[in-house]
Amino acid sequence: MQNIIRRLFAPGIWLSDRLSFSLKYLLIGVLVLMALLALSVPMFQHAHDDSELANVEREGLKVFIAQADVLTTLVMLRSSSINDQNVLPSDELGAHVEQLIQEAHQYGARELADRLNLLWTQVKTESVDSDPKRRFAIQTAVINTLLNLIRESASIHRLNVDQNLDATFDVLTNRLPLVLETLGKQQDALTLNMEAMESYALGAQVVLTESVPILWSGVKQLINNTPNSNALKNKLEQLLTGMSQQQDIADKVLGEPNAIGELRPRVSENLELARSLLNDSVLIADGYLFASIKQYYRVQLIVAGLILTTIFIISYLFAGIYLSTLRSLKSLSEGTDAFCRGQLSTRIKIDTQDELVLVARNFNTVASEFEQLLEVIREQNESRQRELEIQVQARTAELADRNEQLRAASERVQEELHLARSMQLAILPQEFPDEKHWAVSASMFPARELGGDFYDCFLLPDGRYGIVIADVSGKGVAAAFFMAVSRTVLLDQAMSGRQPSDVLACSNDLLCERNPMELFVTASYGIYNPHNGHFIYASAGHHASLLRNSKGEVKALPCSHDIALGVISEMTYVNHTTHLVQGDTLLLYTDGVTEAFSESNEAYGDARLYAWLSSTLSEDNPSTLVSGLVKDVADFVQGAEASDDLTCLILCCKNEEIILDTLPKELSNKTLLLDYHLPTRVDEISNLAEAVDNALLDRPDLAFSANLCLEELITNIIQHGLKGAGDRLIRVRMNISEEWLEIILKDDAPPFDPFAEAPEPDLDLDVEDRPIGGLGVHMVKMMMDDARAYYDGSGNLIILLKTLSK
Amino acid sequence: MTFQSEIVETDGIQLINLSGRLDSATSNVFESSLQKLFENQGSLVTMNFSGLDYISSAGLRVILMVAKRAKQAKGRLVLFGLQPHVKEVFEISGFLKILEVVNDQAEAQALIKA
Repeated sequence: MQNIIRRLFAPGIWLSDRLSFSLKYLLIGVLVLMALLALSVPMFQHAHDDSELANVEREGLKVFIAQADVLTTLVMLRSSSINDQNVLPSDELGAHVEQLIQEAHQYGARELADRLNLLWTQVKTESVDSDPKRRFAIQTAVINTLLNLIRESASIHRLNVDQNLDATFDVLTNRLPLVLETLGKQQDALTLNMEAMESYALGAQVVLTESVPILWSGVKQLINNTPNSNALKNKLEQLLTGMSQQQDIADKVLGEPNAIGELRPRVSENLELARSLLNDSVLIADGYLFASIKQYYRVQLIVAGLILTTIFIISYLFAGIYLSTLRSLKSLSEGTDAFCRGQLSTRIKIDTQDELVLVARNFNTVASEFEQLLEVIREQNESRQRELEIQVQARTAELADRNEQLRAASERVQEELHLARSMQLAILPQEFPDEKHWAVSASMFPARELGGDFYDCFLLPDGRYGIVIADVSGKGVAAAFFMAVSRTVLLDQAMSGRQPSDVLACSNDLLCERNPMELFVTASYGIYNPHNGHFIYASAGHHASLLRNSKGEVKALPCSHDIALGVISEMTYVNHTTHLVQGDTLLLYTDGVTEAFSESNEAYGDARLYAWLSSTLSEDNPSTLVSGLVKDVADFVQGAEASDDLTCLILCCKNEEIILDTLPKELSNKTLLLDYHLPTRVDEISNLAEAVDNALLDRPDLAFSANLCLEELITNIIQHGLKGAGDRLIRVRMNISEEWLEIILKDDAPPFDPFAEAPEPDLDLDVEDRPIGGLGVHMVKMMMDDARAYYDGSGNLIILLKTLSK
Repeated sequence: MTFQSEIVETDGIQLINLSGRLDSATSNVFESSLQKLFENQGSLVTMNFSGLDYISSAGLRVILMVAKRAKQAKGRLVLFGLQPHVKEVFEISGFLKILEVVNDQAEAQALIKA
């Protein structure tokens, strides 16, 4: 139901929502006012019209009075001018008539006015005419015209349609003047003594008789409608009596012409009575009209007063409602506003009995509770604040103490570290071999006080040199410890003279054994043979070393990425060999070189390292080169803090001829058994075998051994030395002397030492543990009494010797 | 000199007769012919070396592979009839320690059934 109402009145509701309270009230007030005014206008109009009408009647009455005056004067004049032709209309009369005519023009009776004017002019000019009848006729005409004018005027001024006095006014403006005229004319006619008098007298009498009831009703009406007008009745009775007396006399005069002398005073008296009656009536009628007008005005005033009062009362009430409501609203709005601005003690006071009181009450409740709540929170905060401050002070004092202790401890630690650093640097070799055709130099710069990198260079029992570069995971004290242990282990293992792969494998196992910190170390270990330039190396998780040849070309040495030492035991490593010739420079380094960061976080990088190495000269000695590299990195880093230990080891082959090993003592008295050129294909080996068998027919055992060794070595050369190339030739020669069988193999492959390449097989392994490869070279070594390989510049030379004794 | 091998089965024992030279050229062929050996669990295989004149490390490699497969399949591999030079090669390479090598077929059969 509510929804229907709301939808029905939606436009009105919408308008009301958008107006402020003041405007709403203003709108209602204006509308009510307008309604009232609209209703009262007709009433006013009506009253106004009535009063207007009364005014017009009054005006008409005024005109009539003047007219009636003129009429009686004219009647008198006619009477007096019958006998006396010298009687002229007075100037005063003339002026009055002129005025009547003017007025008549004004209120619209133009025709009559003109006629009157015309007749009056005649009267004025013909008044000296001797004919009394003529004079009489003209004056009568004037009087008749005037009577008409009076009637017309009364009609125009609406006197004959007055609500209450229509009969009265009819009497006043129609009958009474007619009676006056008739009386006068009667008198004058009698004076003239005309022949038609009798008929005339009768006619006049009819008029007079006719007039009596009319006069009665008219006067009666006036008496009824006005107070204090009973005197009129008497006057009327007098007039009527007089009129009948006059009639009697008139009748008498017919028989006795001399009685006319009695008539005139009678007529004059009657005229006078009629006139008096007229005047009195007019006065009273005027008074009545005046009272009417006053009445109308009074009505208007009353109506206006009522309306104004109503308006005032309504406005007053409205104002009251408006002000009251507005005050309440203002209280609410100001109160909430003040509260929101921060005056939390504001409470709204509304002492009306409308719904707004509830709102104020609720607000006050909420405000009080809110204030209390804030107070509670504030207290809590303050107490917490105090607690915190106390705690902070206590902590600050504690901290100051601790700081002092730490500082002292730190100083002690620093001293220890400095000592350790000196020790560490002392462990590393400071002197390096500097031979005629080769030299080594190295250095290590720790990132912190203690480093985890190390290098090593030592002489092996068989005259070769071992070179090591290694990088322990991490930095600092723990790494330094592990560095010392690793170095010792590696050196110990290396001293056995075994191949790098074995050395690394054993070192790995040992380091894995006792590694509670689970550190590991990458290492590159190589054995350099100064006599023939051989370099055999293996790598445990360390990146490839760089080799620069005499032309300045830099390449990374082949490197199998075996696992670092100390991670997990029983790992295997792979050997690689290469050949260092004059002008070569070998660089071993740790990643502290390539990962040296500048202040803009740019790394030194491989590219720069290659570039630097390429730019070095073959004539430089290693120590110069080492210093040069260190400086180059330092220049790049430019003061930024070192992030890793920087270590490098450089081996230079000077531009001196490498002296090859001398061949073993020439066999004396040897005989050539075989000179065979073998195409480097595996299936050709059987042909060689046949040739060998034929050459050693008397010693099949030697043949067997020789063939076995040849097959093994040739297979190796083809696979590894020549990388499978099948278009080359291997030259096989067999010589025999009294005590020895000599087998010589010559290829044109790059330097390749089969005896150093292959790992020593572990013959004690079980079937499942034996690796598949590596037997061949081992068998050669077992079956031959001597086996050596040389690189003579054009290819590899392998010489095998077997004693002839069984 | 060529290489030949043939597989004969008697009494549930497979016998492989070898002859010729087993070197790097021929060892591949030999290897392919032994693919199906020890497919089944518990197979028994004997190898007759009396016809083999020569063996190189390539051949040893193949023999070792077969021996490993035998162990995985829980089978038995027995070699017999090795010529002296060939036996020497086996000795040098340490294969005598890990393979079952006997003198003749009779011994081999006795050994494998045991």
